[in-house]
Amino acid sequence: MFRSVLHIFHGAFLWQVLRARFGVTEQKVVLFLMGDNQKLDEYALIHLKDFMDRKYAKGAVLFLKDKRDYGRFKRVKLPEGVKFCLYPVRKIQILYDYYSFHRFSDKILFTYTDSPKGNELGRLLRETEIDEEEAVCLGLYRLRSVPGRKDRG
Amino acid sequence: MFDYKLAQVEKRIGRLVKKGMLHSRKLYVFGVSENTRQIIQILRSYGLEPEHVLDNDKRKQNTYCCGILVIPVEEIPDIGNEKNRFLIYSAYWTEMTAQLREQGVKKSQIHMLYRDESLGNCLYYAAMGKRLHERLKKKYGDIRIFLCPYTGTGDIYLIGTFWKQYMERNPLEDYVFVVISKACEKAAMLFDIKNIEVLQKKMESCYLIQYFMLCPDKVNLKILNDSWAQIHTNPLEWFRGYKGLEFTPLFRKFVFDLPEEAKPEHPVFRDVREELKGTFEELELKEGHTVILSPYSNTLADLPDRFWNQLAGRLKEMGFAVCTNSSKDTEPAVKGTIPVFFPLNTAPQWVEMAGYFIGVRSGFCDVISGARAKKVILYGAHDRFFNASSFEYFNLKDMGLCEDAAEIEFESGDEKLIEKVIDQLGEEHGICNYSGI
Repeated sequence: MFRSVLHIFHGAFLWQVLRARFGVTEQKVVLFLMGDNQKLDEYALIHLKDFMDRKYAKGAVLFLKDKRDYGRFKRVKLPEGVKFCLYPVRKIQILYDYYSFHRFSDKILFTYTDSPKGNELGRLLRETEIDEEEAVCLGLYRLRSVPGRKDRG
Repeated sequence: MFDYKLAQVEKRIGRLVKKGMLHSRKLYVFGVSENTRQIIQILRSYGLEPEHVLDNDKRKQNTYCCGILVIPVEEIPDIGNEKNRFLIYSAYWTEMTAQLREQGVKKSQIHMLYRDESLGNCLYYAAMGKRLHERLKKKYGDIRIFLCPYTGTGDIYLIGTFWKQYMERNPLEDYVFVVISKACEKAAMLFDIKNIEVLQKKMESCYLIQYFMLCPDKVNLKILNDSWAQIHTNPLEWFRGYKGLEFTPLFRKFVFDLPEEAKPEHPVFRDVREELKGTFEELELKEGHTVILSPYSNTLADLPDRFWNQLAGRLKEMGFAVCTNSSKDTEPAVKGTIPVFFPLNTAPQWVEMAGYFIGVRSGFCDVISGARAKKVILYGAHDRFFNASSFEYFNLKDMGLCEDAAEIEFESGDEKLIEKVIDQLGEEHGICNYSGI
C-alpha cells in the first residue's frame, strides 16, 4: 500500500507541475487523447465546444502522447482558446492513476476505454449499439444527449 | 448520500437557518436527485418550502420533485432578486454556480452544501478499507468478495435472480457476499447465496472500494452494480435507459456477463404457511382477500395521502381486509389500515397469502414480483431514471420478473386513478386462493 500511496503523490505532484507549465486554470478544460479508439478521440474534438459550454470554460488544453496524432486531429475545426501539447505517455499514466483514485477536477478527461479496472467504456462500444459519438457526448462529456441528433436511443 | 454526509448537510442547513439566512427568502434547490429530495425534507423540517427545484435537463423540467415544480434556471422570475437563495448539493456544482453567476446571482446568494472529497479523505478511506479487508480475510480467508454497496433491495433481488446462472458459469469454491443493511441481507437470503456479511456502517463499503481503487491487485473485489459512481472512471451509468440498456440487460451484461438468453429466475420460496396463518389470524387479515398497500418508495413516485386514504376506504367497502407495508416510523400505515411489517425473506409468501398487492414502484416490488397474487404497480408518468422513464427502465415485465402484474403510469392529480387501480383487481374480487408451496 505504501508504494501505491507514493505513486498517488507522484501523480498529484505531476498535476501541479502540469498546471503551472501549461497554464491550466479553472477556466479551462483538459483532455488527454489516448488513442485507444481513434474515432472516440475525433468525436471528443468535434464536441469539445459543447463540453466547454457545459463547463463554462473559456479554453482547453489537449494533450497528445505522440506528435504524429496531431496530423489526424488538425482537420477538425476547434473553438478558440484551444491548444495542443505533447506529454509523455508514462507521465499520463501516472496522472491517470492519480485521477482514477481521486477525482481532483471535473474539467479533466482521459479517453481511455478499458482502464482502470471497472472502466466499461470499451465493452460498451464493442458489445452494444452505442457508437463513439454517443460514448463521447453521454459518457465522457455527460451532455445528456448528442447535439444535433434527434433520436434519444 | 451516505449517512455521514447527510448529517453534515443537516448541520449546514441548521446553521443557515440559525443565522436567519433562509427564512423569508425564496429558496431554490438545484438539480433533481435523491440528494435534493433529502434536502427538501430537511428544509421542510424547519418549516421552509422551496419555490422551485431547478434542472437543466429538459426531460425533468415541468415535472415534480417532492411535489415541487421543476423549472430551468431561465424561468426563475426576477432571478437577481436579493431575496433569492440557491442551495446546491451536486458533484456538478462548479458549472451550476457558474450558470447562476452568469445570470446575475451574487456569490452570497448561493449556499454550497456539497464538499468534494480531498486527497487526504480518499487516502484515509483507503486505509480504513485495508483494515476492513483484513478483517474479512481473517474471517473468511483470502477469497472473492462480492460487494453490494447500495441499500436498494430491488438491486439485490435482481442479483439473486441471476446468481445461480452466474455461479454455474463462474464456479467458485468460496466467496463472501457483502451487503450494507439488514434489509439487503434478508433479500439476499431468499437465494442460494452463502457467506452473507452485513457491514456495520454503510460507509465501510466506500472504504473498501477506495482501497480497491488504490490497490486493485490486492483486493479480489467485484462490485455487483452496473456502474457505481465512486468508480468515476466508468461512465456506464450515463447510458442507463439508452438504446435498450435498461435495468435487467445492464445487470445481465455488465455485472454478470451472461448471454441475452439468460433470464432472471425467482427463488423457491420457503414454506411458511403455518407461520403466516397464525399471524393473519392475529391481525384479523383474510387469506386470499387482503390487500397489502405499499405507498412508499425511496426514489420514485410519491402519491398523496388523500389517494391512499380514499383507496383504502373503497377497498374496505368492497369487503377486503386492508393493511399497509409499514416498516418504520417515517412510513406510517395508511389511515384505517392495519400496519404490518414482514421481513423481506418471507415477503413473497405474505403477498401470496394476502392475495392482493397495490404499491408504488419500489425495491419491494422486485422482491414480491414472483408471488402468485394480483399485483398492481404504480409509476409516476413523469418520473425519470437517467435516459428513460421510470416505467421504461423498471417495469417488471420488461425486466423479466413477472408477466402478471398490472403496471400503471399515473399523472399527478388523476382523479380516476382509484378506479383504474380497482379495475385491475378483477371482476370477481377476492378469488385469489393461496395454494401453498
